[in-house]
Amino acid sequence: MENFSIDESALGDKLEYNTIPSWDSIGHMAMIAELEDAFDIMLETDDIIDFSSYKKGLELLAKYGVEF
Amino acid sequence: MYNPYMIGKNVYLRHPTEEDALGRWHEWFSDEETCKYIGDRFWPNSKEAQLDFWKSLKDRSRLVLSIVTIEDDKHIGVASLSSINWVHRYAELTTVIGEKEYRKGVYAIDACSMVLKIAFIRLNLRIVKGSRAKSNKAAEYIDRLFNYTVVGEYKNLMCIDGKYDDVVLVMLDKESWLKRNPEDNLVPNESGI
Repeated sequence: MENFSIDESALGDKLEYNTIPSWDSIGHMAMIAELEDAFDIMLETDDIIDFSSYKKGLELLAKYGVEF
Repeated sequence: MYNPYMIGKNVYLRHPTEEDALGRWHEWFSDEETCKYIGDRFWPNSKEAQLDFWKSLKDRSRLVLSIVTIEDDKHIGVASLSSINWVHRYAELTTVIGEKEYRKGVYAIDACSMVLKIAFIRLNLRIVKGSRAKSNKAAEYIDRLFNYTVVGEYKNLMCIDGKYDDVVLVMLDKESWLKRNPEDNLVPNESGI
């Protein structure tokens, strides 16, 4: 949320890559870097590319043992 | 897809065609925004110069590949491994997404991922090195995502938007790359190669 400067209410199935100005390519890479630092994980490159929405992101993070 | 050399998630890489050289490729390297982080691109480019460059792509010390969308086969950028040293087994990687609307997507990550795989697996190189302006945030994040190590910097080497900027030198060895791409670690006996 901090990375994209959005409220918690914006998190949901409708939040997808490029649907808000801050989730562009640089925002995407910044978010991945922050997630990796926060959860001490390293996403595989394919997963970084596939991280196309909030919903998909939750699925991918579960692969790395990060559950919400 | 035409003549794919490696296929990614959204884009594929192939040998540049004459059609690429006669298309918009030359315009990317005249564009101020595109060139501002490229150290030696300050002169206007031309279709003729691009065609000459394309004709010169027979030198085995560099591999230049067109970045093309899978969805609609559009040439959107160029990636290269240059200064390939076949004795010490290193090269320098550069990726440019020339078509600006595609910079919003993950195309650069997709292309970089493939070029690194080509370098470390297909060409069996040991080290990929590069450099970037310190203010180039996109390149900084790409380096971070692919586990590049910062090995030094030149102070105030480039003039970007009227201000002098440092140039950061980075390198990536195969072992560090494999940490993010463990499935690509094909041991010869296991893969049957």
